Amino acid sequence: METKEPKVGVFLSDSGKQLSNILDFHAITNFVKGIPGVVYVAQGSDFWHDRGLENLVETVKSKKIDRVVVAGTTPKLSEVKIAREIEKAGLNPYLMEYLDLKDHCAMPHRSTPAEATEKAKAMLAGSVERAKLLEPLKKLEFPSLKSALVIGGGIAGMQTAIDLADLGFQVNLVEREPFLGGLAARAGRFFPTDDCAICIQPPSSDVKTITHTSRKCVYRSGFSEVPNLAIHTKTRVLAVEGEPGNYSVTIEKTPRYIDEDKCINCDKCTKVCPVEVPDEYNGKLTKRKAVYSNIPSVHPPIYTIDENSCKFHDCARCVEACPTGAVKLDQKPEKTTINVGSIIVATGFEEFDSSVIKEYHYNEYPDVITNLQLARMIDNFGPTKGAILRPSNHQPAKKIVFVQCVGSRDQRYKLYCSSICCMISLKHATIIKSAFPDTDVTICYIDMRTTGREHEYYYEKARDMGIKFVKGRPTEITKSLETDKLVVDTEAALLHRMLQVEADLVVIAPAMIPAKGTEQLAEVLGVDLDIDGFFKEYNAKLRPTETKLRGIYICGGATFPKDAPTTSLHAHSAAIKAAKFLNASKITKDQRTAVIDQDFCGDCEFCPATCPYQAISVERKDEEHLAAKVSDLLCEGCGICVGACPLGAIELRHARPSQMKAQMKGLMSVNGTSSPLILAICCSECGHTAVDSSGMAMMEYPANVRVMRVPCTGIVQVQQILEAFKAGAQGVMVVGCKTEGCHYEAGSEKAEKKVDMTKILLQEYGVDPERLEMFKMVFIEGREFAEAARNMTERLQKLGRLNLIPS
Amino acid sequence: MSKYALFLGCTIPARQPNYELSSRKALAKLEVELVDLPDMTCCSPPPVQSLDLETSLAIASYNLCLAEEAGLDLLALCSGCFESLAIANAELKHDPELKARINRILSATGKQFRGTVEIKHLLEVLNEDIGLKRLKAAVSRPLSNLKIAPFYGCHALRPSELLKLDDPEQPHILETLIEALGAKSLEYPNKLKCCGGLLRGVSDKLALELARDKLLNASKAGADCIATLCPFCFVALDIGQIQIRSKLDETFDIPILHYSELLALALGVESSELALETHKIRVDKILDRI
Ligand SMILES: Cc1cc2nc3c(=O)[nH]c(=O)nc-3n(C[C@H](O)[C@H](O)[C@H](O)COP(=O)(O)OP(=O)(O)OC[C@H]3O[C@@H](n4cnc5c(N)ncnc54)[C@H](O)[C@@H]3O)c2cc1C
Ligand code: SF4
Repeated sequence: METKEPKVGVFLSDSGKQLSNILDFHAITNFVKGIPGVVYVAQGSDFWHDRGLENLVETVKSKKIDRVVVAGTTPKLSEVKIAREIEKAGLNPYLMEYLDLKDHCAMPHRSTPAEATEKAKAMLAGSVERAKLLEPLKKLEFPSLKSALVIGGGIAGMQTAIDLADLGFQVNLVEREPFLGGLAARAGRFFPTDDCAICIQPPSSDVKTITHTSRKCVYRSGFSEVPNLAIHTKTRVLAVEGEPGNYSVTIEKTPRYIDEDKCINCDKCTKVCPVEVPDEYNGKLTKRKAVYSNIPSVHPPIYTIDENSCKFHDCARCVEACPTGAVKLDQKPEKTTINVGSIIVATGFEEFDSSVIKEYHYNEYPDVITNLQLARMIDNFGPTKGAILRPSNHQPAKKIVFVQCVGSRDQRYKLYCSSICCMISLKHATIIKSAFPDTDVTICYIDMRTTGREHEYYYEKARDMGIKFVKGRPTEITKSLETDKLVVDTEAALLHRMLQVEADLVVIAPAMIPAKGTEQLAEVLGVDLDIDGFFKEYNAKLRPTETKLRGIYICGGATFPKDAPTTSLHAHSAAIKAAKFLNASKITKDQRTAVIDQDFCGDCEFCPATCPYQAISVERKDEEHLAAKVSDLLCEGCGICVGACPLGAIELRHARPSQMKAQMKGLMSVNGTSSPLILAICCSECGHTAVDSSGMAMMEYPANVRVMRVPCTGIVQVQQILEAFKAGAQGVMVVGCKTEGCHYEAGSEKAEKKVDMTKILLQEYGVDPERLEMFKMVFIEGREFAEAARNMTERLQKLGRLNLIPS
Repeated sequence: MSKYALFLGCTIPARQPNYELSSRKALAKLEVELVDLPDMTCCSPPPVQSLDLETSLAIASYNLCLAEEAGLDLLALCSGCFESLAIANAELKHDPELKARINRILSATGKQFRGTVEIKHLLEVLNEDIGLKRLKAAVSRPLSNLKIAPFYGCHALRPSELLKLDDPEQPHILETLIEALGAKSLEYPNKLKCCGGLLRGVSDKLALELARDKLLNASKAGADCIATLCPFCFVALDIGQIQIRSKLDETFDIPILHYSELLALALGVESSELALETHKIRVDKILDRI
């Protein structure tokens, strides 16, 4: 390899003399000129626009320099612009270092200009040393397919699928049930619009021009005619392989045993079918045949045979009854592989199994039912045709008690509020009261939560209608001995007494929990679940439909119980994120990634386990040895693997240990009156920005604190901290994100462990472990950073000078 | 033949010879040997626990140490004793730091808690060690004419994660053991709620109302008697009936029997041997029917 001495150009900006009021630019310029490798130094007001930028670009073009160090202000604004211009001028844009003389040096140390100037020199020395070791990085492109897989055919999945199909992507919608619609297909009527729950399809451009409707029930939606959309019902996702942009997904379809092209919905098969089983769709309040369709017709309008109860050829009456010969008892499960660029998870949620709460006797007393079962009764197409009957004797229920928070907000089961069940009960209570005004309805609640737009009106209306509210969580539901009624034993907190409320029917509002199979699906996809078992978003505030893996998105109830309006918002958001990802047919990414030195890699398999993005795979090198391999596509460049590798076999191309070591030495090299020297290793996310904000907010702290930026504190290695002490640091601060807010999932947590470990080592070496500390902060905590820097300085002053080699 | 150290506690020897006698005689019939260890002390029930937890644990574990020295599991009759000892045993076994602190206190008595024995409830011994099959075979006077309302009380079941006797919301063990004697076990509302026993002297009115609720529901359900497990439930429901008569002007006449008494009768122990005159509500009605 050609070894050419790098030629560093340094551009010193004083921001319209803002900085030169504090820093001695003359001394700084002279100092920089003396650093070996620096061939060009310019001083000016700034270098990110107008003449300053022109000068910089011209110098690069002249090939006088091949490394650029810019020292100025607010790099977060200007560095992108300069990098782009450098690239246009013919230099690899990764050969640039940018340091913030204003907020990291001049402002926070304005009361001690001499020390501030010293620190500026040190920062420049560090940056020049690092710049000399920078290497050109490539821009990578990965081809990606313009197709997507949507898992789950509830209103979230259907809306995402239509959006993407309308935008021209090939969409595969996979639903494990025989019919689409999810919960909405069972809920009857929806708040806040009070219209049909199943009116869920937003206009799809192409189909709309034919049917001229603005929104419609799924059964007349023309859903199957949406161009680019393939619907797979009774289908499960078995395996996902490949990388973002190119997933190969194995799906398995359980047969309907009905020819989809021949079924004409005549219902003759169900008439002859002798098998009856509890009807899940109707909350087991009624029975259905082994061959069936859900009514009102959901999509697809094709009957299906339930393979768990059908007697197949031992009976086969439907085969004879079918006028079109659609029944095909010999269909076999089919496995297929589909190739997609992106995956959207929309698997929804379900009711918690309340039978574990023994004191409520759900599943034991037939007249204790859930809101979903009640929804089926209220539905005119449901098992009671809209009448509210007691399942035990089919008599009208005249006294109804709702019990809220069953399993939710309960330390024994689910700690969270399921967020929609207060509204569901209010909706049900008011519907019943309107239809049957002499029904006595009571709602037992802990708190009524009606936070959405117009939701409080339901509460208001319910009170006006004479629905009774009892503040208290019932302790037990029992059966009366004299009558056949239920008795709800409850505290009435507002009355300061216990109440026993009689009921014909008790409706419980169970917690909403992740759909069955969520854990397995998360495992297949490699994405995380949150503490409550729902799919976890990359960032709940700003990236609510993204997962930590590029190309995999989540929406709807799969992330937490939601009402339909929120589900719709979420679904459209996921669609736009997936569209942005798929649109260019390629994924563009730079090579700021990890690279493994195969000569050192030694079989341990630590790195694949620590990478939060599954970017590292292990392959067999030969008979005895394994070799780790990094996918440039999946690697996010955090360096957590670097910190984890016991052999130092992994490096980040943009933050190699040699680069960090050189910078560290530079930072510690200028030391006149500043003492005790402290190295603050800050992650480029929250840690470094907290330093920015302390300067922006004019906080002051001593200039002996010198900052080195790393991608993520997860990259920090034990020996690196020891090296900092060797380079002259009297103390080391590691500044990362808050554990929960770490931009690379686990980096700051890992760094904290490493700091703890290093403290033990330091103790062994006779160095006071107090000289090392981990801090976690966010951008707005500039004050906390300044305070930490001051405290650390004081602490070290008390400890006295560190002499590594005892005299 | 199984062998246990018997833990009687304070209330049973002082007030309920019927409980002690019936248990000893019934278990003898079932070939369970009960050993009386000298120096047993108070079990340190919840009132003591709420004054000072560590002291109470030290008192309870002193008893456990005696059993450990004898190498015997402890059988407790009173639900309160069962609860206090089982909690102490479970907590000290699972928390080494706590154990060390308590052992520091115990060292003044020359004892050390090691965690080598179990605390058994009478029902557990019958259900698990003897087993339903052997129990049924030993019944010589089946109680087939009796409809019995089971009453658990609170302290035998909770805290359930430590006591592990049965599901606290839907227990079955007492019902099963009642049916094993040939009797019919009845369901009735509020069977799992408080007897009011520990509220006596604190809020007599509330205590009596709670007791009345159980008596009313059991009698409505057609119970010939109520089966209890705990001396305090017994008092609340037995003497409680006399007080309900005078204070609330309401008469129940439901015999209250400890499960051990029903067991002894079913196993053929003579009623004259059981100190049944201790009962305030006479049990003749029951004896006539078996
Ligand atoms: C009783 C009740 C009443 C409600 N009333 C209202 C109301 O009045 N107003 C309102 O706004 N909201 C209401 N909601 C909430 C509303 O139903 C939800 O917001 C909405 O249904 C969520 O849609 P979704 O697509 O995210 O999930 P779901 O409707 O749950 O759909 C998820 C789909 O994914 C499928 N699936 C799950 N796992 C897999 C898998 N591994 N592979 C393939 N497919 C899978 C499921 O079969 C299902 O079809 C109610 C909910 C309930 C339970
Ligand atoms: S929404 Fe209402 S019922 Fe549901 S968990 Fe929250 S408070 Fe309880």
